[in-house]
Amino acid sequence: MTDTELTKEEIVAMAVAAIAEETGTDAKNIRVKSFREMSLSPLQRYIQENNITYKKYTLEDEL
Amino acid sequence: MDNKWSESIEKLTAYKDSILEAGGEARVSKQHSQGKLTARERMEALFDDDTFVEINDMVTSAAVDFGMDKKRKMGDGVITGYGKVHGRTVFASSQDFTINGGSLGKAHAMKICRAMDMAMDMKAPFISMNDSGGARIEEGIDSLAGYADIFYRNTMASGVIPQISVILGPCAGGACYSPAICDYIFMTESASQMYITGPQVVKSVTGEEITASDLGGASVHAAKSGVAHFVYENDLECLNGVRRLIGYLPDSNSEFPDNVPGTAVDNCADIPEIVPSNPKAAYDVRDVINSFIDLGSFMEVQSEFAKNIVVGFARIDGDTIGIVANQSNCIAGSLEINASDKGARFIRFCDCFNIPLLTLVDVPAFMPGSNQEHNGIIRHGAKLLYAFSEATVPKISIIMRKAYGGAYIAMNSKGLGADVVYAWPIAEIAVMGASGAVAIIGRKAISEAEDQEAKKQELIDEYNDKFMNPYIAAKNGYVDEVILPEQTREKIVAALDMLRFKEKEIPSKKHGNIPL
Repeated sequence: MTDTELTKEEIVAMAVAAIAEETGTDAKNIRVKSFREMSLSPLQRYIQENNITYKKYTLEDEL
Repeated sequence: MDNKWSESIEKLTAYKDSILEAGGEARVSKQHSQGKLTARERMEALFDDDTFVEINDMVTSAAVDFGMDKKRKMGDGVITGYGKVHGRTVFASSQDFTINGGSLGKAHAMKICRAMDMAMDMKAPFISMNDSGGARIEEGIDSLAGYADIFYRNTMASGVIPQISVILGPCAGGACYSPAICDYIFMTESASQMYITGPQVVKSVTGEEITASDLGGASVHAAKSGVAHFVYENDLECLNGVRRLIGYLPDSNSEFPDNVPGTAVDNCADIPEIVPSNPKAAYDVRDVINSFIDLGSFMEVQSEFAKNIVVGFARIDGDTIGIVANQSNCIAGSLEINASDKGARFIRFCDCFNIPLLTLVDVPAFMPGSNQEHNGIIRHGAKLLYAFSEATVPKISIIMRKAYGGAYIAMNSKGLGADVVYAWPIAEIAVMGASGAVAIIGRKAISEAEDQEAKKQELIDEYNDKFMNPYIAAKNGYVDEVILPEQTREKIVAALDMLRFKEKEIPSKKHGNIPL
């Protein structure tokens, strides 16, 4: 693991913090029931391996 | 779980893994090294995240001749299915060059046809991603029949559901005709090629030496042939372009495009600063378009082809409109053969899919000259008149500056069925410009005058004073209102609102006979 990579605990903590902020819930009241690492899709892997800057177009991009 | 269950699941997993492998690691690497995505990656880029559902993934060719029994792969070199784009259902096929060069055989064609049939049944857009060496020669005439099945469905679906072809690799021979029947063709600078006969055949038949990209690359089809409607640098940008286009379109001819809120406008734009009052001075009509539409919403179609006419989609108060505009900074916005073809096809697309038309008029004439006459400007120009006349969607015109002669009539004039015609105060609506008119109607007076130059100028001034304005047309009812330029957006919004539920019947017929 490199210095910049996050541990599983750190990732879960960040997810909890994000949910707390989004929902206005106290982080202490959020309980993680399960945690599963998702593998990258073929496209995500290709983009990551080739350092490509890419954002999928959405209608919100018009605003 | 008993043994039968676990063995069955293992077998299915092995099948699925084999399908996901595509043509194998080496071929996938080669595809990537050419700057191309794989067929599956393209599906992922096209659809909203995690919405793609594959169909017929195990379909396999039954061919055995010429070693095909050893080259068979599940899926047969094309991925088909459906998913969501902006939350709406869209069907698609994506040819896999890593499996038998993406060549089209019977099973491959059947899969594409099945997806097209489903798109028609569901009244949803169909996207075809092409990356194929062409007909699978080992399958003989069955592969040709497969193409015919696709062309037939393309034709039946034309005007019912939007059909978009995305050329992301080679597309040669008869394979070109499916994209050609579709509504829009996207290409990439990096890898797309389209031609009926490739460079080798061209050389053997005609002796001409030409590279594949010079013969049928994206730039050629964007600027010269007009075959390509949109060109992007690579697969990812191209598929984002497809996603953007779908945002302007309805699912089918029985729907209207979605409203996309976003009413910001360019408040700094000042039309009199963009459009010179001198009718001979040029400007970029896209600046006019961007001055009153929802900010950043203009998506130009065929931007490199027939630049004297600008066509594209935009939004006003979130509603899609189709814009047809004379481009003053290219041959003064004159109409010629290619501009007529480009405009007519765009108008007909909008009419098929319930997209209101806005026409911006600044046109001096149909382009004169033997080149145009001998190549059929009469036949091609007629398409523009026909398309505007035939269209029953809301039709709004704004006469910005020049509107002369037959070209004025052709650009969605009142007589061709325009619902609302506005003119700016600098508009000049006349049979022709002053110099040309005086040369004809003042010939005798000028020749008999003592000072011929003075007489000519006197007649030009008289003609300009009497005819070169919008007020005669307004008095005769050919213009509904002369408006201030700053009223342009609000007048268009009001007209579109009034025309929202327009119903216009055309006489019952099998189909019209547009001069093709």
